[in-house]
Amino acid sequence: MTAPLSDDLASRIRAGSGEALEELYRAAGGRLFALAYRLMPSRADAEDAVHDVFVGLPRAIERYREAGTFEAWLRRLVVRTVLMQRRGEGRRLTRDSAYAAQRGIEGDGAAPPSGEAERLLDQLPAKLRAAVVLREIEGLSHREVAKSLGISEAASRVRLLRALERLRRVLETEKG
Amino acid sequence: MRRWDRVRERLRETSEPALGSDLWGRIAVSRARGGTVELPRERGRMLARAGLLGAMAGAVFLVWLARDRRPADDMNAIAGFDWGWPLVPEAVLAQTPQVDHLPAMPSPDGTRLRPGRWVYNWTLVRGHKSASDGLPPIADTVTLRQGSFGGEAAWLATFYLHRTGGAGVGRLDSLYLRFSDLQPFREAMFAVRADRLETAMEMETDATRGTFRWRYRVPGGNGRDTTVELRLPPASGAWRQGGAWHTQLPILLGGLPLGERRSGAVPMLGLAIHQIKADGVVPLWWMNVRVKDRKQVTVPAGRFDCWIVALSFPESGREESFLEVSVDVRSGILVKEVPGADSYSSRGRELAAILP
Repeated sequence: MTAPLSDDLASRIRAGSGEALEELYRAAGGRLFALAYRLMPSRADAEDAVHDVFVGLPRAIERYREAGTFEAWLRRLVVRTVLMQRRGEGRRLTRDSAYAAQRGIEGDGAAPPSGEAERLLDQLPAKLRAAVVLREIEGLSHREVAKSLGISEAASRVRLLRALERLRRVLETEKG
Repeated sequence: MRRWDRVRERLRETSEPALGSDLWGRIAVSRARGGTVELPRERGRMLARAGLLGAMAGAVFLVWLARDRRPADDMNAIAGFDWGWPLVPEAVLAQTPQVDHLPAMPSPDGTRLRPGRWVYNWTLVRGHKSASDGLPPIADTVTLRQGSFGGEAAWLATFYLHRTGGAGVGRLDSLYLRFSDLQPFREAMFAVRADRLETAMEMETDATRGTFRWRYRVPGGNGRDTTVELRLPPASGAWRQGGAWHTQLPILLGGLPLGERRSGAVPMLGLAIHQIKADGVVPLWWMNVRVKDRKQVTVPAGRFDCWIVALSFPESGREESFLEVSVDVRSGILVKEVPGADSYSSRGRELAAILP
């Protein structure tokens, strides 16, 4: 059981305390990284997302209104950061991989998935992956998923069903 | 629902990743060097902004219609920036911190190169699908000749890339490199099938202001220059892992002092649009160049004495790529093979070397 992050910690970070930021990293960095890792295609990408969150946090925290728990707000920030980073990914993978192949160079540095669940999740586009990770693995309610992704609860349910159905078909194909 | 029980069961097998021990160090270094990241806002405000931007875009579109301009021109101009630029301007290099475990490779020396034309054939492999399964091979011609631009002695390198079958627009990319140290200062790109210039651009670096600037003009556009200005990476270790576009790789390798067991890192700017951060800072990373061996290599172009060069981006954790670089015929890469990646890999062979 982990202790909840205090609003005092948020206040100290807002006041510019580097020590408070490191304290937050020690307390919650692992959990935030785990979340990013499940949303991202590689460990390096997940580390980049957490890096960006902690580097940008002293400025972003000015928007934290203490309306919910600090950690829930942080987790939403991680999700949004990941989705922002992945937004151009489809275009990037298509264009860059093709060009990389033409030139015989390295691609985007994505490492192969480490486990069965990760391999399955890699079959999903970013938006569906986020819905299934937040609901099925992180255990959020549809209301929380909707808030994290900036969509309606109905859209959250639709995305989850689409994701599960797509994964079911992947498993069926593999089995067949 | 039982329908998805098996899926849910698999998803429960998610591993618990351990946080890397050096991540806080990276964060601390980025913060210490004044780095910051603009993080996305809550969606409600984003939607309001998106609405506003949409309205503005609509207004711009109406103005554009009234002026009878073609949108494809601008799109082509933007596409011109996608290919990246592996050579780092001198002024940036001076600001670039060295990484302890990666000694810097000396700067490329333009006098090592010699003019010529090299023709390659590339075979694409995607997953288990090879070119014979529908992905056409790609022909690539690299030409290098001496010239000048704006009164400055230069190497003019042109890269002509086209598919030998199937769809795809051929592409001609011309690059002016300063003769002495191969610093690029002008690039022009042509879409060959369209038979017209896509865009021409000039590049300049302002070390005092810490900016890197492209200036380009779109043929058939409004006749005015457009300037894109980006911030150079701060003198920090905040370079990030990522792919790089080695349009100029044969030239770069030809200019490097390769030799027995020689190794070192070459800094690169990531100028592909997706790599530029929201705050306009161009990312910087290091490409590790390592000479592994020397051997005789036979390709359709002939038999050559070659350095076996391994390339890698240490931050990516990817396998090394191996290239066979001719010892005598500088700027030629004979055989190049990239290990299987998640989507594509490729194998290239030099078909011909035409030297004056």
